[in-house]
Formats: sequence, C-alpha cells, structure tokens
Amino acid sequence: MIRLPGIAAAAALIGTAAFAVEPPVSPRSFDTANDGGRSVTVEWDAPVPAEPGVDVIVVRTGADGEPVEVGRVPMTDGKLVDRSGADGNGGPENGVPYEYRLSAVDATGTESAAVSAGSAVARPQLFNRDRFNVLILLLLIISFVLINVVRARNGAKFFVRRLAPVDAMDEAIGRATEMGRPVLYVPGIEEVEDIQTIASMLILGRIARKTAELEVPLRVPTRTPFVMAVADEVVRAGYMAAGRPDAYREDDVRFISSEQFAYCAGVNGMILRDRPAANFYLGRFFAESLIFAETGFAAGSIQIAGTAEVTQLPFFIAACDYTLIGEEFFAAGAYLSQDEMLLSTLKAADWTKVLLVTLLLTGSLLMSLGYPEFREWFVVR
Amino acid sequence: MKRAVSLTLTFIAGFLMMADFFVPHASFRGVVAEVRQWGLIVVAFTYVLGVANVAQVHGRRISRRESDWFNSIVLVGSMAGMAGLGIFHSHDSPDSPFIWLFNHVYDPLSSTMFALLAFFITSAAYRAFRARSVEAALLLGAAILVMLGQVPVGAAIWGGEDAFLGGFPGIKDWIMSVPNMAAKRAILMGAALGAISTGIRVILGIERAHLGGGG
Repeated sequence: MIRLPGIAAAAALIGTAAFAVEPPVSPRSFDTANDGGRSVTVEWDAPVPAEPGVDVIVVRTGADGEPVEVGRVPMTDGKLVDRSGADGNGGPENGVPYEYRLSAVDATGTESAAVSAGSAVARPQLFNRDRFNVLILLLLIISFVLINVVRARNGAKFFVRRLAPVDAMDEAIGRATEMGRPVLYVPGIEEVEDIQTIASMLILGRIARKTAELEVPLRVPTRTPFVMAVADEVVRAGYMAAGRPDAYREDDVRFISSEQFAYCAGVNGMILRDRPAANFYLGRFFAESLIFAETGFAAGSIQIAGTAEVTQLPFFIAACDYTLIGEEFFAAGAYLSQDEMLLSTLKAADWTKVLLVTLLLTGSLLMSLGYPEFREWFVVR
Repeated sequence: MKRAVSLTLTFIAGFLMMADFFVPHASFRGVVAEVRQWGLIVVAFTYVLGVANVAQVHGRRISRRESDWFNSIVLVGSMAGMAGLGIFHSHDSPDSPFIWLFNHVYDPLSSTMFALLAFFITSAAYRAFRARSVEAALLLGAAILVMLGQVPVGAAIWGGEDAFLGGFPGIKDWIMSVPNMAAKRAILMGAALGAISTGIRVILGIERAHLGGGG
C-alpha cells in the first residue's frame, strides 16, 4: 500500500489541464457481497474504443483524508477488490465510509483526471447468498433423513436390496473361525477426518463385535496414529458390546508407519506372516490397493474391499472376491446393523437420488430447448 | 454420560464445519479456525501415541522372543536411529546422515514397493480379463480397444483422420468419454450422496457404531 499525501493537491493543480488518456467510465464502489468484511469492490467500464496498455489506479480516502493507492490493474479488468491481506492488515475497516477515486494511466505515464467512484462502507455478512442453492439442497436432504427417521420410529419397515459383499462379511469371519486364523481389517490410508475413514470406522465397530462374539483375532494396522487411536476405541467398544472385553488385545490395533509404502510393506508382511483367513480393505486407498489385494490373493484369504475412490475400484474388483462400490460402501454400516433407524437414512439417500435424477433430466431437456438459465441455479460459487 | 458428551461434541464440531461453508463472517471463521487448530494439536499428540504403540508392540515381541523378533529389532533400531539423527543432527545439507539415509535407503525401498505394482497389475489383469462370462468378455474387448488406441502402434494399424470412427484412437476416445465417463459419474454421484448421508447420520447421532452402540 503506497501512501500518496500529494495526490489530492496535484489533482487540484492539474484539474483543468487537457488529458490524453480517458478515465474509466461509470465508476462505482460498493461493499463486497457474501464476504467476511473488510472488503470493498470497485468497478468501472472501459471507454469505447478501449486503448491498449492503459491501467486504472484506484485510490481510497478514509476519514483521516489521507489518500492511499490500493491497486493498479489493466483498464480491461473492469474491477478491483480492495481487501485486507491474509495477515488482516491493510484494506478498509468495517463500518467506516471510504471515498474511492479512479484515474487511468497509459504506458508513457500520462495520467487522466481522477473520477469519483463514490463512497462505500465495508461490512461482514452473516450468510453467503451465493451458496443458497447448496443450503436448500442440504436442508432437503436433512428433511428427507428426519422424515424417514420419524417413519422408522412409527414402525415403518424399509427394504434395502441385498449387498452381496456385506452378506459375505459374516461368511468370511465364520471361515476365519473355522480355520483358526485372524481377520485383517485395513481402514485405508487417509486421516480420520476423511468421510471414507469415518465410514470405515463405523463398519469396523460391527466387524469387531462379530469377531469378539466368534472369538476370532482381529488385526487392524493403521497408517496414522489418529486413526489408530480411534480404531482402538471402536474395536474396544465392539468387544464391550459383544460382552467380551477380556478378549481385546492391545496389539490388535497398531500403528505401522505414516509413510505410504512403508505402511504398505508392513501390511503385506502381516498378510504373508499371519495368513489371515479374511481381509477387509475398507476406506480410502491409492496406489497400495492392488499391492494389498494381490498379496492377499496369493495368501489365499477371502477378500472384501470397499471404497469410493473411483481410480482404485477396478483394482479391487479385479483382485478381491467382493467389492463395495462407492455408495454401497457408505451404506454397508447401516445394512450390517439392519437397524430400521439407520436403514431409514439409506431411504433418504434414495429420495435424494430421485430428486437429482429428476433435476438432471429436467436440466438436460431445458438446455436442449435453449434455456441455459436453469444451469445457473446449480452453480456453486 | 461418556456417550452423551461424545455425541454433543460430534454434533457441535460437525455443525461448525458445515456452517463454515455458508457463514463468511470473520468472527465465525475465527471460531472455526480455532477449532481446526485444536484438531491439529490433537493430531500432533497422537504421533506420540503412535511411536509409543510401535515401541510397545515390537518391544513386547523382542522381550518374548516371538517369531521374527529379529525384524522387530531392525524396525525399532531404524525408528530410533532416524529419530535421533533428525532431532540431534543437522539435516540442512544433502550430505547429512539423515538426508543420506532418506535418499539412499528409504527412498529406494519405497520405490521398490511401488514398482511391485507392475507385476501385480499383470497378474490382476490376467485374472480379470479371462473371458469366462459375457461381462468379462466385454471388459476384455474394451480393454484391448483402449490399449490399442492409447499406443502409437494402434494408430499405425488403424488410425488417421480418414479412418472410419477415427480408428483405434477414435474408438478409445469414445469408450473413455462416453460409457466410461457415464459410469464414473454415476459412481461419483452415488458416493457423494452416501458420504452426505453418512455425515448427517453421524452428526445427528443416529449412527453410534463407533461409540460401541448397536444403532
């Protein structure tokens, strides 16, 4: 930010001189919409015909009367946003009126007369109106969930189609019981805030309960210590819920390494040494997906995978016995529980899907008929 | 009580993160940024737990002389050695022991693991492409066309501007951008809805499996 104490005086001195450069047309300034405050937008139109190489200098004057140059941008940009920096310094203060003046300057340094863009007051907004469309959709989804939860409470029964991979989970754990070998559960390689890891933890809770009931050792190698801490709690809780807290072993949930391929080598080592009867790969995976799945195949384990990572799905489908694809992976926790309250949320997701397909078909039709405005309602800014 | 506290904290954190998308006000953003900072601090502390877990698991294995206990000595020794060099030795220059070990030991080992993928892709592709059903035969046919369209020899066999349907490259482009893209988008949309539904379930406390509940 450059302070220009002499600008006002200089402008007054040369005010009547003839200028070779035309100033911006229709300058205006206003509070920047949908922001956190301390920001004013200055806009203008370029004179016609527009001269090439001409810039606009924007100067802000506050209550202290001190002019401050806030920026210099090409005339053709038509807009400059005066805002505070990332450190919170500079920019206009909230609630304080500022006068904005604009002048044009060409490549030779010749400057036009300054024109006023009026005054503006920066204010923070409580709601980003550009995201109203997202809010409506979110409220619709939440209301679908709540309606179905109420229906479930009133005794409604929900039909959910068979998910073969989830049905096979019990079978796989049963096989491990018969063979006297452990079950391996890999919860992906992402941090715990990732929704796929959260979904994986929900399934892990139910798998842990089942393994505790059948007294099968469960191994959960993790890539991040945070996932280890959460998985440890989840497995403990599963064992408690099964009435077998004594069966829980502290070594069952372990941290391997936060490095992707070191973790990969560690899990492969476990597969080859322990020869688990069943391997579950449920979560977010990247390059290691096929390495795990092929090693597990070589070890002769039943393998059930699930991820929403589109790039890794083909590898799991090729190398595993069963794969939960995208949405099925998120539905698995509710399906496993067969609890009507949880199944009701799957029904809400189905309602949302019907809504989205209807909107997609309507949009395709309207766009084809020459009404592109419909698309604008769904743009997220 | 423990469960009620967990559910309340989950709801508050989930609500804050969701509202952050809609509320631009600087004061609110400040609160959310503060909560995120707390999260980072908790994550940093969990690394202490992680190292303790590695030491505990492998220390026990060494002390009990369990199978492959020698591997555990190598692991704990490597961890302690790298941590010691990182903490007590300068690692600004590429010749420092820490960086040397990283570049000459860890990096090649990591690359070796990654390189295994080439062999695994071959064996997985062999199994996936065995035409034992109509679906597998379709997959095999599509894969052959895409592979031929992707490599120069495919275009040399059948390609060029005058070729019917654009030759192998044209067919490859159509497969990738029409049926493949349609399936991919359907999976992505389903996954996004599933993710939203799971998030709402957890935030509203309907899903409690992670707390040991049946619901």
